[in-house]
Amino acid sequence: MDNSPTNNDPHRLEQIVAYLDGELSPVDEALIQRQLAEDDSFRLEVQSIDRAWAALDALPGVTLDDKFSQTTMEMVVGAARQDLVARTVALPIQRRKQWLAKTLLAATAVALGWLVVQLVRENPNRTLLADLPVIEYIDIYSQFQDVAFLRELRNELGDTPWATELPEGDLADRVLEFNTIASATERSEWLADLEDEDRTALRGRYNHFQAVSENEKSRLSELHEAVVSADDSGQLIETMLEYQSWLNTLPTSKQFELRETPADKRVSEIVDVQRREAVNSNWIELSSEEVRQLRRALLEMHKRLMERMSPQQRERFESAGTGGRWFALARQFPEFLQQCRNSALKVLSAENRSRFESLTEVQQEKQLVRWLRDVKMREQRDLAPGKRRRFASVSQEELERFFAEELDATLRERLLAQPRDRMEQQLKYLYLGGELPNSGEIPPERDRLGRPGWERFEPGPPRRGESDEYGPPRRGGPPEDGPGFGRPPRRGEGSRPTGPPPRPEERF
Amino acid sequence: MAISESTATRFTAQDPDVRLMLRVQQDDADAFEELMLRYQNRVVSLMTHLVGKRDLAEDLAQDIFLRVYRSRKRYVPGAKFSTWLYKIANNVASNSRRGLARRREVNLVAQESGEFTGNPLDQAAVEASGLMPTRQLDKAELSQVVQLAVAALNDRQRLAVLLNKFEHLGYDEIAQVMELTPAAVKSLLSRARANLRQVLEPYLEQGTKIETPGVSD
Repeated sequence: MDNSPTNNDPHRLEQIVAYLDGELSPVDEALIQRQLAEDDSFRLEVQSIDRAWAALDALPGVTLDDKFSQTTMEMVVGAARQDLVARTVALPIQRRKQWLAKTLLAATAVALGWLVVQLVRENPNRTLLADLPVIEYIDIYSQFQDVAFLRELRNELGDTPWATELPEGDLADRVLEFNTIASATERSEWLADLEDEDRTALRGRYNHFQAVSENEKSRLSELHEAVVSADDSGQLIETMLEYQSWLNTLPTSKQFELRETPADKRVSEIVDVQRREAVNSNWIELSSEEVRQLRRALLEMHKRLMERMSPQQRERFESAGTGGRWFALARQFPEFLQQCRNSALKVLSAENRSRFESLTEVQQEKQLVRWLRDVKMREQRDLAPGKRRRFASVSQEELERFFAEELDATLRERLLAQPRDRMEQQLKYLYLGGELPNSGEIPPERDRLGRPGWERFEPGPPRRGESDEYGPPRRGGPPEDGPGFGRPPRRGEGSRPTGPPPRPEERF
Repeated sequence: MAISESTATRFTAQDPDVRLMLRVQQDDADAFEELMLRYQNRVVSLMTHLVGKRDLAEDLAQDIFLRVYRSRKRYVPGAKFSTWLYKIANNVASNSRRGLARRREVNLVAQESGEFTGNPLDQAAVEASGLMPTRQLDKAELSQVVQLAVAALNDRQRLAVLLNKFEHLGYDEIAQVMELTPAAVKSLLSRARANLRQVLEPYLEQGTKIETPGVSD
């Protein structure tokens, strides 16, 4: 047995072998060489390892004859032939596989493309759906900061009814609709059922929502969550919807003013108005038949007065808007109110006539003003039990009568200039209380306004530059041009195109 | 492993065998024949020392060249051609040894019936020449002794020794062929050379002493 030092020192052995194989670094090689020069036993050991390595040269080599290469080449040629045959046989299969692969690839690409298109196309709807409750109720949510306001309002009101007290069924409809919109699973169906006019209105609110700051968006969302997740959410929602209904009877400037009032003072002012309204029991409610007859009488007067109008008066009348035209007439023709009084006395039931005649002159005037508004609003209220009026509920005969009797010649000309289906749609819209738009956008008229409270809230004629309409056409419309309020972008703003209202571009 | 374009370009430029193999890739039969003629002796020699039988070594060498041909389309010049070739050879030899081992298990009873099964040096030790007093070993005898010494190495040591000694592969290349690290190759070779010295030194020094090797891995 060899007992050389390398047998017990693997590292030393590795270094010697690596040195002999020329695999050492220059530094290690120099170390080995110095040791070789200095250490005889080390040198002998290295020589011994090297000698054994050199002895391997005695191993016999191999020299092959041509037969090996010939045989090998034959094998290779045979393999090549087999490959060729295999490829030839597999060619149709390969082609079929390639065709299948290409078809699959194309189908996958088409499916992916379709998916991408769908995603892109549906994106606006998804954004809308995600924030739909806040968007749909953005106007009312913009009016208060927290649920405490609603609770305080409800507590302070107690049994006092709202001036715009909604019929029980109507309030239930509104609550039901609110809950539908608040439900993540039901809101898409609600959205799909919307009619064009409501879509347009919703689009306006969507634009409004998009225009507010991110902080405001978050606040509105949190407020909605707080309302729906509160223990008394049912009461809060009712209060909010009734508050909204009353708020809609106010001009936008009044809404803004109210919104800017500190919460506690605002509550007390609102409650005061409702209480005053509740105390005043002199208001005489007209029956539907009375409203209808009064309306006809007023339209007759309207026609007569229109014929007497100068171009300037006519322009002022046209620009007053549907709700404000009666008042424009009253301002321009002092005898108008007296004629109204006479007409009213003719159509009133004996009981109502008696009550009306018992009022003071000022009270009678106020009552007449209110009836003028009711003439416009009450018929809509009686149309259907639900909040939203449906085109389908208007009969063809009624439309024809409306067209012939209630529209002036200008409007009729404009309608007749439209294609038939478009004309019918716009006629229905006008019938349901809308106004043929001049601004290129159909303003939604979704609300049936109840009894007003704003004239008691701040009596007096409209301020300069302020609309004299009784409430905005939009439900809960905030003062969009008021300070500190994100104004939603409006198409065609500032111009007054005379063409028909455009169809909504986006399908919500 | 992915091979960069620069590596492929470098080996194509440096190694004429790589260029031949690239021609084989293009179904150039002449290039394949030339490549085979360049390597056939070395491959058969290597396989002979690895498996111990010449006829088997030739069969395995043909299998190796056949594999080279069949792999031609997948060939990427990521190293010297010889490194790639010996890697195939190593795989073929390993497969062959595994096949032989299975057959040996089956034939175990037959082997115990008197056939030689022990260390080849034991056989050498009982031959007449091994009993002679101090003398000079002749060439044939030295060749036989060295063959036996190499055969006494384990498979991995034997392959590393053969590649290093006769194919002049560096540690890095051997590492690629055997799928080891260069440090492991260095260690493997040092142990192989210690074993060779242990076996051969008595012959080389005195020509008399026969010692049964206790070859360590």
